[in-house]
Amino acid sequence: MKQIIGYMEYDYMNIKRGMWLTVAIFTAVSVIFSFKSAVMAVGYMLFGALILASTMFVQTVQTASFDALVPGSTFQKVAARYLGSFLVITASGLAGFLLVNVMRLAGFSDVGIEMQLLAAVGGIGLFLLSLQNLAFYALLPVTGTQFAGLIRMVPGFILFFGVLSGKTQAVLSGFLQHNSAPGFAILGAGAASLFVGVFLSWLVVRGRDGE
Amino acid sequence: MEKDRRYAEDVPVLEVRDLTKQYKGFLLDKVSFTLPKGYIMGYVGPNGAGKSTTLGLITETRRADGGEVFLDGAKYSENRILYKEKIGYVSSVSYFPPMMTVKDAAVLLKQFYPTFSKEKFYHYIKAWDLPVKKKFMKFSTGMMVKLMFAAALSRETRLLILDEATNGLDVLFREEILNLLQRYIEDGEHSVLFATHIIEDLEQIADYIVMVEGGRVLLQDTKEALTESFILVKGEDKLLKDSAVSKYLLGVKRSAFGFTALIRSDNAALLPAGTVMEKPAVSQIMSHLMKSADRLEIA
Repeated sequence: MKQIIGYMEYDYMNIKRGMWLTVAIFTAVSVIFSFKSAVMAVGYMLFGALILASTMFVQTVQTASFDALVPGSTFQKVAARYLGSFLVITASGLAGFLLVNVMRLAGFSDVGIEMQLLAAVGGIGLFLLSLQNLAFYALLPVTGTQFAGLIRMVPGFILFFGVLSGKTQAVLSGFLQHNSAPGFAILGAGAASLFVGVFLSWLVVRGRDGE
Repeated sequence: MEKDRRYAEDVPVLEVRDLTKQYKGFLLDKVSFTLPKGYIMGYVGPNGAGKSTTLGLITETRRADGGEVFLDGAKYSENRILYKEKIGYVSSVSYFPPMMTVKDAAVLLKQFYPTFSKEKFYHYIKAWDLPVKKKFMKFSTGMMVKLMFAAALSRETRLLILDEATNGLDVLFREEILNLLQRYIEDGEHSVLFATHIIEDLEQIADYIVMVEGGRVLLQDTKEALTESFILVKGEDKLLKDSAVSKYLLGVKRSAFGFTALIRSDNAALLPAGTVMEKPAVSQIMSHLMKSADRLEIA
């Protein structure tokens, strides 16, 4: 566990330089969205989290020798990366949720909060995070950093322009209304996808490095 | 019990057996050597000889295609954390992320290495006047090397691996490092593997020399044996026309005043009277042997 925490700290030290600026920008835009829709405000924070999580991969490509040198296994490295990105997306989602509630309590906004819809969007965000991390592990060493921009933008754009678009939200809301508590089931499935992602990513890296 | 202790004393700090790695256009070809406890080994060769590849395979930052490495008699796969804990690594290129500070490095090193001592680390940081809050991207090459030495010496390592670590350092600090390496091995339990193409540093401190060229070990021996097994010959060009002598000359270098070359000590009797003969320095042996690598038997 010590090694996993060490790798997480290493990731954090790699991304911290631009992290707070990214957080500030996404929070500011999220405040604007909170006047219109709680899902959009939370979803935009999740979008920012996906971008931030991808920075861990791009930054560490340039500083790979440190994590190769210190004692630790491939599994610990992969698990730390997933755990770190999970913390980033969870903190962002909760921050968005808190933001919407603060705006409502302060009387600046009167948007409704659909917990099932928010949970479903959170679950989709976690699922996209798993896909994004797996894509980085599988493709980044092959394509180099040239395609990293593409890998890091696609999941975020799917979330923001796909899942959070008015049309998709209406479909999702309709689906959630006709089923009992599926929003939290989607959230659970998203969390489970992270475990699958860790396992598959570990297999990819282990196969490539021959560990 | 007595037998176990004797066995432990006999186990070298580092044993490399038939280490092989293939890249496009390069083959590290069955490199083998043994570094006993309490000694400094110079791992020398020109750029591209395979020095850094060998070190990468020993530190397990690269995967070998074949061969084995034993650290204190144990392989990496037997205890990965202990294996890496025992190695201190210093390179001419920083392995620390550029946006980190000394404070960050201390936090990370403590997290990864159970024997890391913050007190020792900050002792070196203070002694070498390294700024604690400055980001590494603003450090000079010399400052980064000092930092890596501080990180390596603040743990209970058994083997210090230096990869061209003294490149770009000022004379005073280089001198300090060489003294530090001597102190590191003086208890007879620690060893240093020093890969470099600056042979002058090794002349002072190395006990063993392994010479590599084109991914192969050309020769390896103690420094004393190596400098005694060759003789540096200086003479006029006409000596080169004597085929009975010239076929034994290694790495002939011509100049306006004649030539210099090496000859194995066993063959020195063949040289005519009046030929200038000197005991060569390691750098001279290396310089001449690299020119005649194809004429040497692989050690």
